[in-house]
Amino acid sequence: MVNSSPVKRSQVGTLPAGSDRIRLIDASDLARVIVRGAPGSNLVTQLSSIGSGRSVVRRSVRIGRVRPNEWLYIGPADDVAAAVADLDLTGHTSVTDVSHARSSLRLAGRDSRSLLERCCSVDFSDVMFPNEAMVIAAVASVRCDIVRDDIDGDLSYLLTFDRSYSEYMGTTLAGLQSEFESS
Amino acid sequence: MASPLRRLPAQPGEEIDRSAPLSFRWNGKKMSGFAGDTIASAVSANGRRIFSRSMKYHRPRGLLTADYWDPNCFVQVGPEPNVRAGHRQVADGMKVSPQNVWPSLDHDIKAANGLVSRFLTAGFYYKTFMNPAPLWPLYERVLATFAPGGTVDLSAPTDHYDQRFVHVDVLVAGAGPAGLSAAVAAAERGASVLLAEHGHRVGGHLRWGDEVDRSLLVELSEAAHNHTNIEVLTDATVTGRYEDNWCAINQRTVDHVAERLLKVRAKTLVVAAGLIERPYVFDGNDLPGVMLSGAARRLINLYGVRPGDKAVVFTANAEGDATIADLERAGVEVARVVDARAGQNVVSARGGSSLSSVTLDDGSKVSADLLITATGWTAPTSLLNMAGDRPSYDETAARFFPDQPPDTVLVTGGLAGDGSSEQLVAHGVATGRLAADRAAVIGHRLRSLTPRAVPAEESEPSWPVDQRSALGRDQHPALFRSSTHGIVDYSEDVSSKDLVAAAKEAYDSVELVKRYTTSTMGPEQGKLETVNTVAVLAEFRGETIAEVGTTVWRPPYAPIALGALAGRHFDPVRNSALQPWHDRNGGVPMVAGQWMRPEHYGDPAREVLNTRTNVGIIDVSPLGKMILTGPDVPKLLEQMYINKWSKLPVGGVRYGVMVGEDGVVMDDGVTGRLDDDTYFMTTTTGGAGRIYEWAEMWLQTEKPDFEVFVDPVTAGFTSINIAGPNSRELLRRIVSDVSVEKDDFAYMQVRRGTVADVKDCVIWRIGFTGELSFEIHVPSGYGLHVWEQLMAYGADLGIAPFGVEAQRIMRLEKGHFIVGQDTDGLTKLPTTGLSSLAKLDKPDSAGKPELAWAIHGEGGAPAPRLPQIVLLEPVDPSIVPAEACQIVGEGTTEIKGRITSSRFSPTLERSICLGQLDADLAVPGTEVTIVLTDGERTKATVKRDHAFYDPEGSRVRG
Repeated sequence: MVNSSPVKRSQVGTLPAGSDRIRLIDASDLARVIVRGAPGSNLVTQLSSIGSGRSVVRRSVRIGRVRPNEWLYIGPADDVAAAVADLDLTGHTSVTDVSHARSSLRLAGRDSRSLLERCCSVDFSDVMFPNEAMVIAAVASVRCDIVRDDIDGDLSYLLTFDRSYSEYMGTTLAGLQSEFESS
Repeated sequence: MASPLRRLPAQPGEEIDRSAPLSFRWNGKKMSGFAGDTIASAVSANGRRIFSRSMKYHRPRGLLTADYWDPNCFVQVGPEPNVRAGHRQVADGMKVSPQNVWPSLDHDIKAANGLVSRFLTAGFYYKTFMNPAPLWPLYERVLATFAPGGTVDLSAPTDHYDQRFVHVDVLVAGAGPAGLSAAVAAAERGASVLLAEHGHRVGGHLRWGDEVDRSLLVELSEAAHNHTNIEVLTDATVTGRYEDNWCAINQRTVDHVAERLLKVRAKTLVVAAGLIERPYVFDGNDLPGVMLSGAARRLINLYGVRPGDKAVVFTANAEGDATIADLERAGVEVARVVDARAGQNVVSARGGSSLSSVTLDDGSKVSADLLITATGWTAPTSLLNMAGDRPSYDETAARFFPDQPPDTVLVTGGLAGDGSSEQLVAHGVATGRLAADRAAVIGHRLRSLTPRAVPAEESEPSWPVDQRSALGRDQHPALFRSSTHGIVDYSEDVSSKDLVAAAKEAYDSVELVKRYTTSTMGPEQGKLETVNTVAVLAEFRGETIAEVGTTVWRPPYAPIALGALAGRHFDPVRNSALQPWHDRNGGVPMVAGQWMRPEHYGDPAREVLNTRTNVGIIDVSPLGKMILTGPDVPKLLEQMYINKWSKLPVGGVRYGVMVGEDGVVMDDGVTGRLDDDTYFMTTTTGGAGRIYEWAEMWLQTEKPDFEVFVDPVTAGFTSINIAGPNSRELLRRIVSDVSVEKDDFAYMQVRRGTVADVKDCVIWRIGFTGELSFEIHVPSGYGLHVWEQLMAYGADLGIAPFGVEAQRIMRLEKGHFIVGQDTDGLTKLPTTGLSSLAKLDKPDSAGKPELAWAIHGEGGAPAPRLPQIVLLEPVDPSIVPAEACQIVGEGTTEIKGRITSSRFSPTLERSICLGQLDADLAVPGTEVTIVLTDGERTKATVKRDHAFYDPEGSRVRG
């Protein structure tokens, strides 16, 4: 019988070091869980304060509303598990772990917004996309859940997308980053 | 002929850097220039006056406007054709050459066209080259040698282009005094501002103005560049305005890329495009040495170039008057001033390769090498046209003015009226404030409508009323054409005589005459010639310009490279978690939609034989995968699939086919029941996205009462098919908590288990290859680990990976069809031979009525005799008909079907095919005729069994 130590791997690949201007960080080790509830369910009531286009952080877990009655939990695996355990899952609800189905990249630094403007049509100004805002949009033609989650006042965007695009997204965003670094 | 250098001593406002000399080549000759020179100014400074030959008559042409809009100086720069020499800045080492001249620019043999010019009037091509029609290819080849433009070097490196999305409160198009003022005023109101200037520097006409102008320019420029709310773009043209102020900007001078297209959402747009000086139409008006006053002023003041030695100045306005002073300061002898305001006029210009004399309306003839005309302005109302405005003509000012643009589009500067610099600035300031205030209201509305935005705490402000004081309109002589005919459209070589001829042929509306003569359709897009075209037509019709009206200016404002329109090309690629292993181990990649897959690892036939003999593994991760949860999943499945699902037990797997409302097969796959309310569905690779959306469509619109959630997890599981007689033994070694023995884990069953110490794997007992096989779906983070463990634990079992090609061969040997390969957009279920799967006693399912007709007929009529997918064995086993080869009737060309799949089977050592065949031929044992790609015919026999290999299915169920 097999006796091995499973090695969990990210598919994003090696990313450039970056600077204060732009840093690209592989955040794929975070757990990602989709939580859904039928209209009127206790779960939906419980999470209704996190409305369209918004996200919050609760005990290290970023919770963002993806679609009506659907929320995405992102954070350290144990914290996500604990957060989900607190949910009232009575009635028609579902919890789907999409940690392996998606990857996450963090784009941080003062020029990160300018970089996003090269590949995404959303208005990322402070008024229209403040900290904790969330939107689903195409980044470099790939559907992404985009959350603005500034870190200590430093501009930061967390992009979550289908895992199969990991190498492509890493390479594409790193290419854009290099243009900024050298301009 | 060598010409004297024309570089002047340093000028007060010059934009060249004399501390940065450079050298370049023009027409093969080495020349010098300075940083900041345009190609045109640098070549002029070196004494050259001819830049190009005209399109049709190949007449020599010199500078006319000496800026972006100059129609006479399109040149070839290295491999790049059609470069605007009046705008492109010269660079050290640049190689510049004239376009479409032979044998030389100074002596172009095609100038002989001028001798027959009276036969080459408007419509010449349309009328002359119609007949005889068979000669058109010959005509085309000859005409192509006359086509204007440079040479495209297909071997030159490909340029890269970029795009950028911008959201601003105020977009200001044009950075003259009014545009600069508007931008600063809007920014000071708190608005975010994007200021786009067509030229290389901001300032508009202030740049070549006097000391007061230059002082104002410095002040405004610093204010704009230093304001944190303003982003200034130079060499950037607002090329289009679309709905809701979606504007396109073509930015030409950018790092890393050739050009960039900015897609701008502006809450308000300020159009401050200024005015464009209009040429005057008279005999000889296109001779080198005849230029507009602005051209002379730019050459002298910006680039320190003396435009000629002896000048006649035809002036009707202050700009012309100022040119006289500039010329005199530059040492040009002003031989005669012809003042249009005093009723004086220019009749014609004469010269060989350039101007030598000017004839005036008093009959006098003045010797000169330079004729300056200052006869009025064209209002570039393009962006306003695009916003729905129809400009109106003002006879007093002799130009068009905006009429009623939308509330979110404001006009300032020369486009709006005349005034001193102070008045233009004041109007710009008022416009900027109004634009900012209106943008604030729109911004408030957007915030209210966008939940993720910072909520607006205050109530919506009232819509700001336009209380600006209007700019005045200076009286200006109406000067369009003299008593002689001359060139109207320099780019297209269209003369006023051509326009009159067209009008006489009844092309007498401005839109018709434009299309018939091509006047205004050249690279200048009407900036220089529209008003003169209208004026000539009005003169012919005996009407006013207002009555004739003007053409509609559409995007783009200025020509734009197709590459810039395409922008940065994002081409997403999907990889499985195993792709690094495939790359390291000789996997030959193939593109499957967005996915990269290993087609084979060197020898597909060997991969087939190994799988049939030992054990093979294939990465099938791109298979579409969804998790369905909820008590009503069976209802949804029954809706989507043709078969029944209500009795599928936990641990069971069922194959299903999906058809559209038209009964056409749209996808197939297997779905297994993991527990009471959780199902795992697989679809084809290409169908993954479509089937997910289809499921959501049913749930959201047709069956909202179904309690089902669907989560697409294609990339979440790395899918590996393990096939071959040794597959069970391999699974025994690597699966720790599921018995894989035949009695415990039967064909078409599913288990959840631990594989290579990875928990929560889904294990199917299914197969597509015809061998005993299992399919495991591993959480993708561990996909590579499991694959490597399989390879390690299967080493002594003869394990080897196989690619897509081997899988295709094996499925063909087994007789399995592939949706999209063996079916097409017309293939209904009965064609596949799977009608027995359709359960028409279900209350409802997609395509049910159509299936009922296709399978059983209706109204007493029999079912239609649809084509059948059949197995075909070529009579000559060495011949592999190409896929898509036609199957025809014996001795005829009547199409009876086609080959949909074909391969040489290494297992059977013969060619095998699947094909769609008319029902009357789809009888086992029938011999059919296949037309091969070389036209030869070969025979094939319809096979009796449904599989070439193991038709009893003993191996797959083993």
